[in-house]
Amino acid sequence: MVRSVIRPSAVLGLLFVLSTLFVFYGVGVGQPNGPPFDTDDIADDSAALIGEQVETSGTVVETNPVVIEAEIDDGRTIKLTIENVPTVEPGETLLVTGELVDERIIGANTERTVVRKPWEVTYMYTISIIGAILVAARIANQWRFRPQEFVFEPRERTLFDRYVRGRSGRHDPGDEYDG
Amino acid sequence: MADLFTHILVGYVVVTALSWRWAWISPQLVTVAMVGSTLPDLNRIDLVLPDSTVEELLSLSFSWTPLHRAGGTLVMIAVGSLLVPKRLRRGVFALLLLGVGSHYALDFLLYKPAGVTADLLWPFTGRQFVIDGFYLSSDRWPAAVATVLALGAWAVDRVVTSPKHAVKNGDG
Repeated sequence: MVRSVIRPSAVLGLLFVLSTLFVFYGVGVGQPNGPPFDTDDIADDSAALIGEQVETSGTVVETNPVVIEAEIDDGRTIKLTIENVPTVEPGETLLVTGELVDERIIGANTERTVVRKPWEVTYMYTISIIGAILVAARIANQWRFRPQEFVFEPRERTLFDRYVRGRSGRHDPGDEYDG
Repeated sequence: MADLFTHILVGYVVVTALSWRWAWISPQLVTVAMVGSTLPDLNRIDLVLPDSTVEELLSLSFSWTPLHRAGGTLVMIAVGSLLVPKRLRRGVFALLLLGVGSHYALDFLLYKPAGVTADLLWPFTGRQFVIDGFYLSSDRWPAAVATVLALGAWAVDRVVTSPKHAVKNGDG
């Protein structure tokens, strides 16, 4: 009886610790105080950061001069004018570092600026989703969930062996591992 | 983050190679390391449920970022290892840790315009490291290289784990 309570309690305790970390990070506990200062720092108090090194990224919304829309943690966006950048098109993403020359103007370090085409962002998310599907398929194939005990355990025969090969799976040391 | 596909394949390559030395690392446990390699990117939950929405709901400062920091990931590893039978716990913990380690190793090498990493080891330290990374998460070549390595590992694994090989080495 006691043993059946220990594990759920430990999981709940760990989730509480995790929630505490979410709040602590949200408050800013123990985080670096730049430079380079980030978009949130610029949004909070850009006047105090003039002359400091900043790093930010955002979507190009104007090209003459180049203006990006950068997202901050609370979901809002701020517009920043970027100087010294290569030719860009609206919709492209800029990753820049440089000096904050005025409250909403960054003098970018041209050599270190990255320009991302919209399709590159689409690629990044698409290939990531493919990866997630790959892992989900391996889990479903090799592991099963036992709701009564709330545990995942290795299948004795993988779904692939059972339904595609239609024969016994190979001997699986994982079933006997006693670590 | 590098793209998730690259993270997963690199996790697969590393743990598959280790399974040739340590036989207890079964195919199921290889998958556990691959799961570990995805754990830090659970912070992308913010695409569905932004920090600002949670803050409004709870009236508290809130950030999902710790999921992509050493402290939050360690807690997730501990939770994960409690979700398997006791006999598997230590192995699952070790392999989740391995997957997570490979994830952070790749992320430390990401190119950042200012040349310093994020505070990935938070809350143990808020330190940012000066590392001039050499790839972006939107680059295509890391996934291509990882795919070639993974196919190579898979092919070698087929030979190493074949019954014929086991007999030849006196394991059968």
